[in-house]
Amino acid sequence: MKTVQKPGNYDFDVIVVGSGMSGGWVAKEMCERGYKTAVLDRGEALEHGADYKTEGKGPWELPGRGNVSKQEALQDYEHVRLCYAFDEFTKRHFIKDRDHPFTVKDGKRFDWIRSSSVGGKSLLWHRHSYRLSEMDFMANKLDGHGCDWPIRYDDLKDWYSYVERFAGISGAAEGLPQLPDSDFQKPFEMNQVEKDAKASIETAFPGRKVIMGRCAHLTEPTEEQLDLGRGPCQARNECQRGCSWGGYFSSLSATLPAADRTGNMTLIPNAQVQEVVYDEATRRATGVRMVDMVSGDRVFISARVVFVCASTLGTAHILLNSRSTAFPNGIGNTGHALGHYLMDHVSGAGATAMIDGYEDHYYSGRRPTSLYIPRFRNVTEQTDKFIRGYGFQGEATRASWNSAIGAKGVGKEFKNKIQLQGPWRFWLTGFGEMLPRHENHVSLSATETDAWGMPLLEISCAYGDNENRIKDDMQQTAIELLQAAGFRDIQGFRRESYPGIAIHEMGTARMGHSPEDSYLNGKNQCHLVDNLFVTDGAAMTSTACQNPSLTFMALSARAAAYADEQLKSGVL
Amino acid sequence: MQNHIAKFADNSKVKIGKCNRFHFRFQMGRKTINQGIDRRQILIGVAVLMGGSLLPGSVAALENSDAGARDASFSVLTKKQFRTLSVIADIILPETDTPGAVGVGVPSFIDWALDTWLLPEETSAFLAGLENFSQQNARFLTAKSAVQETVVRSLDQQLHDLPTGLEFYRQLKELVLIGYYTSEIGATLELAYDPIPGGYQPFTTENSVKAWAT
Ligand SMILES: Cc1cc2nc3c(=O)[nH]c(=O)nc-3n(C[C@H](O)[C@H](O)[C@H](O)COP(=O)(O)OP(=O)(O)OC[C@H]3O[C@@H](n4cnc5c(N)ncnc54)[C@H](O)[C@@H]3O)c2cc1C
Repeated sequence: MKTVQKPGNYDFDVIVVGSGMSGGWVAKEMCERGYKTAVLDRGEALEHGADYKTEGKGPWELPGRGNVSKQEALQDYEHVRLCYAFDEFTKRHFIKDRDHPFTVKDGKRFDWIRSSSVGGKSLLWHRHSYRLSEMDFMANKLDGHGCDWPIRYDDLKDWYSYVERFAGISGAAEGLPQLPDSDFQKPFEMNQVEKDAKASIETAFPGRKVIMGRCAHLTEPTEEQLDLGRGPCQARNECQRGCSWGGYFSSLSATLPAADRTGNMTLIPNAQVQEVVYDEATRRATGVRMVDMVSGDRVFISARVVFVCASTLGTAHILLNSRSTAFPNGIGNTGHALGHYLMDHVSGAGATAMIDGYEDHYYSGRRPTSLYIPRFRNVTEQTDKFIRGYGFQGEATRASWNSAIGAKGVGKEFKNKIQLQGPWRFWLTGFGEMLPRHENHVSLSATETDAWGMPLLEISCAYGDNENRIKDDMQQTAIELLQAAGFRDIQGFRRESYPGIAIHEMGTARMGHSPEDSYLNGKNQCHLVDNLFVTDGAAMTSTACQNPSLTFMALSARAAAYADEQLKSGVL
Repeated sequence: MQNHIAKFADNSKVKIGKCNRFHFRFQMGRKTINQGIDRRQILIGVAVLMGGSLLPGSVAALENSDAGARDASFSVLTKKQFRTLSVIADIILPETDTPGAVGVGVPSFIDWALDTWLLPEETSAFLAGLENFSQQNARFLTAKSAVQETVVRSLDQQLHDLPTGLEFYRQLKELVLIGYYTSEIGATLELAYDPIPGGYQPFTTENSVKAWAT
């Protein structure tokens, strides 16, 4: 691998802000190409393995048996406490909302779920990994919502393969046009109830498919993965505590170790980046200003290229705060896109059911993923109720002791009944696309700052009619699917929820064809500042309905390769 | 400037990827359960298993007499409240071929929950309800176990529509279940627990098998 010459007048060749899903990839790609790379993260340092303090512990080994004090949750974790993965085992990996405030505007609510450590939300994610399809990259152009994506599926296809082979994605090839296959390791198995439900549903609705979830877990680790100290998933499904086996993909298990072993990475934790500095004379970003959150020291670090990967809203926050005479409203901001078109998925609607029979079926292990029903609305089945669509996650499990909560019964008989595997049950829950709308935006507070002097981020975001109709349909259709499967006691649900809680926030620095409609070009490069890149969810021009992180990874690796070419050819 | 970076670099460079590739190969398929059961739980558990026919009340007494400082370690409950809860808890989940609720320390867990987990208003409501219960059943603690059981059974029958003043029972029952099945005995002896399953494997079986604890 070619080693580039010493940074010269710069502290580093490359600065990567954020070490999560996206930043980890940029760090790996740039370090492997020989660039001296500084990775700055607000989070605390974690040693992969040694610092996963609750890994493998039984509930009895923690004071709260897994439960966080409700008072503490209300006081310190106003938003984070609403995340399904937040508990006593995982608490340390979530940010303490109280120490990192933000505000909302216009009477709206946003449940921003953030991480607390190096590795970002890659430590916390649920690992569902799906490619976007040509349909998704064409959607804005065809129905006129949002600007046209500057890239198509073919631009990203090989990059998907590239990141999949490194990350390790388990799943089965299905040949579906709306959900292109990945480069897979073998899928997890369906249990009998799921196999039968799949058959019934696919017979009743030929346009709908029930497939095994595709997830970033190693089921057939490659030499490359083994060399990084990763091993096969053990089906503990306690991933968010951290997995020292590296059974699932995270920055800590995969990309950062790969970057680190090149000797080119300097990882700086507890570093709150406040702004990207712009030089008007050269029209380039010169580096970043950061605060050491422990000492309070303020530091300027320079580099030839800056990648901002601080998670969608973290990125918008930094860019808006990067004010100069040339760009009084944020570096590269033309007033059209930066901070606008914030999106999340619409979630919180589906159905549950009970299942008779299958008493002689059970399973061992805790499968770390579920089933997936790829989008069929406006694909194989048209509707005039809304545009775009949604997918479902779901699974069949057997009840255990917690289903005795709220049930009548005392004594030996009651206890002996709980001891045995309970009835089968099923859940289905949807994730729907959210349209990009200019009014869903973030800005900086004019009056309030955080403990380190950064203006607070103000969020103004709400679901609209299309999302609400999608949500209605997710509930009704989930009921219909479970009926088709022949289940009983089917209960639809449609919970009140606000953007943020699907934890798929995207937009605010979107890609597009020109500075008139977007912030980034088709290479994740700022239209107006050539050496500034954004490769996290902020870059997304639309959300599609798939879990998005795999796309962030592919965009990150692709943009890094492009930056490398530009650096080598002397353009940057 | 360079000094600043050097400082970061040696103070806080994160060690990553040091889990060597043999680590998991060595562990693969190996099933180790942390055997560090709290000694007191073992003693009580063993006493129960050895056929010491400990009545709920006497188990409570054992808990009370154990470790001298036990009283002081209750954060919220008085001795009497603790004993009342212990009797009710052991009626809900009695000793079978495994210890009952008291045998695994459920009352202490409830004390912890009232002190730390629940909101202050929930704790007050719970304690008020428990007080009502004690007033309405003034001789509950000294009654014969059959009588105690009748009282609890009839309350449990009304679980979904509890009499005013006794709504605390729903919370109590929930805490008993959580406290029991998240205890080491509850999870690993009464139910099945597998810290490292090694994979997901559907199977069929003629016999009923124990439910997974987690
Ligand atoms: C419980 C849960 C389940 C999820 N499930 C899935 C799933 O199944 N599939 C899926 O695709 N996605 C899932 N996600 C979402 C996924 O985690 C995110 O999409 C992904 O991590 C985003 O990557 P990122 O690089 O943009 O941000 P992150 O991974 O969050 O990384 C951003 C990093 O930037 C740092 N940072 C922020 N601000 C600053 C600053 N000012 N200065 C310095 N550093 C900063 C943060 O500390 C963080 O480390 C889930 C998330 C959660 C929490």
